[in-house]
Amino acid sequence: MVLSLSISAEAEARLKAKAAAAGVDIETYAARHLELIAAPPRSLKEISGPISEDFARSGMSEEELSEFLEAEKHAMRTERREKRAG
Amino acid sequence: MTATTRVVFDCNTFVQALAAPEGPAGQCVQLAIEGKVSLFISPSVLDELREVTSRPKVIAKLHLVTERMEDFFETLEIAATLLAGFPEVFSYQRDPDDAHYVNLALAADAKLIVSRDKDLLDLMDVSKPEAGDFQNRFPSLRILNPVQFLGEFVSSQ
Repeated sequence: MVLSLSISAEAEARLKAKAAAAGVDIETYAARHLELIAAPPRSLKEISGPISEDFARSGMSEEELSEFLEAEKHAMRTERREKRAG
Repeated sequence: MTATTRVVFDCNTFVQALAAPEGPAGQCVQLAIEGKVSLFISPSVLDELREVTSRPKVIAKLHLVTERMEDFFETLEIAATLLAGFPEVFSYQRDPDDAHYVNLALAADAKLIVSRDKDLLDLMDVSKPEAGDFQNRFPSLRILNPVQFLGEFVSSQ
């Protein structure tokens, strides 16, 4: 199926940037996203793959993971504020 | 809760979901991917997610792989509605960056924020001084951790 679509100049610019970052042209990028939108919902476990397998092997609990991530998020926010403040 | 229930997840709910898809945060994000709740995100939420998952300690601890991360971002962008340029109605002195999640929820007309962030969760704790003012201003907005959210989802089915 071939579609012809009108989008705003802003959307075109953002799509072009995203397509370039993904290393494909805008048509390929847009077509891939339309395919994904039309596809059945994906399993997060499938997307995560080796990441979740490694986490399961690590023996870390959900609570420990949460504490670690919160500490990293707050450290990142502090660094970001310090950078902004110059 | 239904597919029209609007929700906002904080950035670590997404990271935790990726590491442990079968855990509470993972189940929350899976509900959004399957369209069983309506997820709202913003460019700032995605930026924060990218920044946290770019930190060397996080990459090392969770063995994050770029290809999987990009796949995850793509899935979120498809599953969620992206909102940008909304007003900053709420500010939060205790952690100014948390206010964005509240403002996103208000802009999306979402009634639920899912987070494990203590600063955000304390807004629901009436024993905390900041909670009273928050709940008076936004009586219909609630902040739940992933376990509480799942409990409410299951009991609503």
